[in-house]
Amino acid sequence: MVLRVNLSKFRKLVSTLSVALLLITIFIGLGIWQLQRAADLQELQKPVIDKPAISLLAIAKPSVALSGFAPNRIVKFSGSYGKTFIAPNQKGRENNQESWEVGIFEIPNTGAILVAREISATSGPRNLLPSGPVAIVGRLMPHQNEDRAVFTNEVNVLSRLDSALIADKTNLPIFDGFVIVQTEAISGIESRLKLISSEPARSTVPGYYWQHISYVVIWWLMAGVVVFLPFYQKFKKNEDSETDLRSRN
Amino acid sequence: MAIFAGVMSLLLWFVELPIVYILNNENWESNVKWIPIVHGYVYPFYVFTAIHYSVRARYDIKKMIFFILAGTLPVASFIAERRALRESRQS
Repeated sequence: MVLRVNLSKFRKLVSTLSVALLLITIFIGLGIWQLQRAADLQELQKPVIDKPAISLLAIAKPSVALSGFAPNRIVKFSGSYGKTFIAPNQKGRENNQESWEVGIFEIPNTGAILVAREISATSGPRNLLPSGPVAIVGRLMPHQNEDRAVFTNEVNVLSRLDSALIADKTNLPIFDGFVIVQTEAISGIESRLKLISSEPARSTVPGYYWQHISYVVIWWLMAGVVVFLPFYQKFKKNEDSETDLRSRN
Repeated sequence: MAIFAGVMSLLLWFVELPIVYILNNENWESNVKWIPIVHGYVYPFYVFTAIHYSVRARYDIKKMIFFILAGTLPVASFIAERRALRESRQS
């Protein structure tokens, strides 16, 4: 009988402890996540001073989200274009709306990345993408979260520049983000392109630095509350039983 | 504190969030950017106040958790404040 009571008490203790530990882990994790967002936001708000072009593979990996330091870097890579698309209603120079020619760029044995090549011709035939090996230098941008085009029934229209939309269109693993071409060279000869403005991207992390820090405080405070509550419960029980005894006497 | 937290919640839910996510107006957005920051710092103070009051009033854990969570919803903190006031007058 005693053993059974102790066993049920032990089970209750273990389950309470597990729930408390789970909640504490979740709250601390959420705090760390907000801290990371605050750091990313601060990094992206710094004025961008272009550094020399760096290999894409040095700062990004396929199938891995871009780190806070990768967006806006000038990157270089070579490979060949695969499928092509039009990305309508993109913001160009002086906030003008433009359609962009976008291609899936395949880096052999590595991965594929979306490349915004040039402003799409408003009239006349579209420039065909080169079929041979191409060397690209361009600005790495974070993926877009909001659709720019509503009607996406057309197969060659991308509603936003987001690698998630091309996952089924290439066999290679895909890089997060996309690249706006600054120079494109085929066998050492630069292509003549109607270049897209490649001004640095603004922060894609919503909110403000001190707002995220306040959320860190809140989540860690919640973890503290979870630690505090069992002690409070014990204190409350002791106090209640003392009051009970006093009233009986 | 509950009233202040409630007002900040109302401003966040019904002013800041619609301006940022529905209206997409950058000028208005810059005018309301203080709301989430102030709300973010008011809530921890609300939590401390709720814990302090609950301990003094000898509330059980469920009630204390209700008081803490009431600060996250726009109207719940007003209800919690009214309830606490009524109970303290009765006792």
